[in-house]
Amino acid sequence: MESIKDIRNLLDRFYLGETTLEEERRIQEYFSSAKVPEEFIPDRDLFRSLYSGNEAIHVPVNLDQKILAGIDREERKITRTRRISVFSLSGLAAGLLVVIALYTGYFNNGNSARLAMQDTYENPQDAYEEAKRTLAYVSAKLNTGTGELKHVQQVSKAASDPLKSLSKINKGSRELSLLGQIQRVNDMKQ
Amino acid sequence: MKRIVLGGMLIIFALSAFGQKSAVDKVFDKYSGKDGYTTVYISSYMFNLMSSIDSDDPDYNEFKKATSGISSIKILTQDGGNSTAFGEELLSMLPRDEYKEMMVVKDQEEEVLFLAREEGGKITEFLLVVSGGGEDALIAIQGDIDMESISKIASGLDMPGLENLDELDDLP
Repeated sequence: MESIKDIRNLLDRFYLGETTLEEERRIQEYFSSAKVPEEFIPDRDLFRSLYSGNEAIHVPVNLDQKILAGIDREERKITRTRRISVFSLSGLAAGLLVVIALYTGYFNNGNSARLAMQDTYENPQDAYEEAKRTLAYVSAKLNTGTGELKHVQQVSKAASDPLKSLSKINKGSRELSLLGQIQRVNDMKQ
Repeated sequence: MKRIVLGGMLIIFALSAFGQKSAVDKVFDKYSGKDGYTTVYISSYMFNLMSSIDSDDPDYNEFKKATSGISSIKILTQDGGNSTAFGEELLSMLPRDEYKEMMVVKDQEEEVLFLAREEGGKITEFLLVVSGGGEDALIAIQGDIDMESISKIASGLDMPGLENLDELDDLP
């Protein structure tokens, strides 16, 4: 039977990894005995969990390959996520470009024709003369159109004036009917 | 994947938006630079420059007021007098459902058609198609157009001989 001092010494060396298999077997034997001092209980639990069953640890076949494959998979996943982020980034960039293109396209819609059509005049004074001439022409044509409408108004005004004189005739004819009545009274007297 | 498809659709949409041109622009594109046709283009940039010129022209202020909203003026004429069919051609190229017919002024052989495109109650494009008089032409004015101040220009302009009219009143 080992003394407590011996066991402590053995345990210290065990934790340093200096014990031999024989010594470890001795510790194990000690712990499997019923009486273990309080201070060794955590150590006993550790030994029990380590050596319970006592069977050799079964290493699955191709474990190393499985581990390597697992590592490879992880690495591939990382590169894929990186690729995806590049994709989404380029998607974002494309989206931004589209927005910018739409924005500038919308506000320069009039200017897109400028690519095909250059300003005819380089001198604002010449451009002014031409623009004035053009607008004067447009304006004159506009006014002939609306001017005709004024004539129509005059015609309708002229037409309504004689109608007023017709009412005078009406008034006159009423007086005539009065005259007629007087005539009739005179006839009855006779 | 969804993103890529969406992006592609957006790009196509953007391209189509770029490609869209008004019918009048197409007409001008067709004839500008061609032999036998004269196009005049005055851009909004030029209108900006015009607003800063010093002019002692009495009509200048009237003109400035009328053109304040105008972004461009385009004129297309066929050179030489023999252009009676040109006006018809112009009319056939313009989509009539996009423009409201404002009025038609017939003057002997010449027919002037006023077309306007309205957006939100404002005239944004104003076309004048002159046909039949041997001087067929298309005048397109784009921008926020104030018809009233344009129609005032003619009355303010010194047309030759017009000034003599005022003197008539002074005669006994």
